Amino acid sequence: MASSISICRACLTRPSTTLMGSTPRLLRPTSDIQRLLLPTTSTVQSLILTSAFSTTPALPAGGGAVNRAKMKSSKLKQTKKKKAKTHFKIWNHAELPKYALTEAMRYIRAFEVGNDLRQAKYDLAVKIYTVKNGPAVKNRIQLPKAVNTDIRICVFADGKKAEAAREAGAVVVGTKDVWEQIKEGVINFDRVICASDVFQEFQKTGLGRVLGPRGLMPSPRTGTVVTNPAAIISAMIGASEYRERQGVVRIAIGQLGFTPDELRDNIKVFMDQLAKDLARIEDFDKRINEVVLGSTHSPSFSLSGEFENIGREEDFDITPEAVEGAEATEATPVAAVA
Amino acid sequence: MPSPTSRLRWLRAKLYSVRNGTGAAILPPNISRIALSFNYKSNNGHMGPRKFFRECLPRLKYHNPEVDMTVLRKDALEGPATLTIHFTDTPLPADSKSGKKKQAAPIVRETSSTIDIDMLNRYPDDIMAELVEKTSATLYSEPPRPKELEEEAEYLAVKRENELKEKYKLQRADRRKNKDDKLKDAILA
Repeated sequence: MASSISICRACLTRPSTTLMGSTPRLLRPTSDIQRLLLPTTSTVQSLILTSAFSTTPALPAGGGAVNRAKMKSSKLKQTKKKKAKTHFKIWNHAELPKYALTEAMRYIRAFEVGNDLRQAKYDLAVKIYTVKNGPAVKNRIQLPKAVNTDIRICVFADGKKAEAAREAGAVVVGTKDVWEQIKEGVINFDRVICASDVFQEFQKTGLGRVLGPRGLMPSPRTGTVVTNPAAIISAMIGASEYRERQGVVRIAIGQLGFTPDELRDNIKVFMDQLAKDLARIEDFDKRINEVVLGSTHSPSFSLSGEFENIGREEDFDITPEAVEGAEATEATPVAAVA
Repeated sequence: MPSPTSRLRWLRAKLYSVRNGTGAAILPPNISRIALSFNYKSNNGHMGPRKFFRECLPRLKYHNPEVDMTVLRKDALEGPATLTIHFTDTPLPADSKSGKKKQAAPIVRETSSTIDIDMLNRYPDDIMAELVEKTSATLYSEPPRPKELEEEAEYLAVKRENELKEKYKLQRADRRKNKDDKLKDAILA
């Protein structure tokens, strides 16, 4: 998992701090004795005393200033030699509070109050542990509930297919009456799909002059002449693209009016596909580090992977068990990667 | 993405302020909708409504997620600014909180009666007070922090104060030294 790195860092820092904290306490009772003994005894003993608590070599008396200067210069050299970072920076966020989906949504809805429920979008950012100059993730996804539903689709079909198309979400459906409308100049849609059985009839109308310049002309080559228009409509409405930029994948995951269940399904499907995308890039190690949910006008919330919080009011009262358990449930796609 | 720590500190304050303050009140269950209507520009007494919308309404929404809150803003420079409270008789569906079999059609709660509040030329606190009075809402206040957290916060505050004291002492000494040096130079020259 991604947090394995961060945990290691924590482990490395912890023992040193505890040691440093304990040294003065241990030294205090012996300090008087030490002071008495120091002038008479050799420096060897003092060396032992200090080296017991710190790994740095004890400095001989008198040469402190010189040594410090040397150390400074050596440090400067070290910083100059430092290599440029190959990976995008990731942080250890294991101990920081995280939010269940419903909790985050409640806050977001509060911050977004008074805004249009269709315009404002939930926005998911996935932080990835990745090299800077490697291949980036880029793909297109079909979410269970589409985010961009503004696209207005026109379908040339009749009979059962027309009904099915209308159910699937087409705005304008029909054959001859629609063509006449188009001839008059009424075009209130962005995409056109034609059923294959009506296509010959459609070609005779000579609407290419009207539709062609607008890029709306259906043709089998672009895949807009099909036997079953209803199946394509949902794909046309719902598809959304995402790509990795600066080690983060961002995507609009839902409209503000979505229910928690709908949003959860969207997030689940997206995370599954993202995990597959990451796994497909073989030579490079890519792992998911953090998942953050925000929206157009609200702050962002680091997600814990739970759906609902039970019996927790305060955001700082989170128990580590809850977080770990949640990560395990959400991390199923992640585990497959790592 | 900024580091999680910096994000969190900022977020914690934000969340605290959306949970507490004027507007943090729990409305009774017979209220289905609150509708605001005022202008985009703050001329002619529309500043108060805007403040109410920006400051109090998010808090109200946080404590009453089931209540619809709509805001209608006009381009006019004059006109009324009203807050409308919609009451209903239909109760909330019982299993809305479990949220398992709620995929069916959303329940429309029809309004049985409405109350208007005039928001023109008023402060947000004033508007909120009238809202609470007319709806008999219960004000929300955060439970106090547990003792350990309080102690830790106090300890951190004292520590920070001491650090600052040390820092300022050094700064003062530095400045004095500079001043003395300048004086000396001036005298010598």
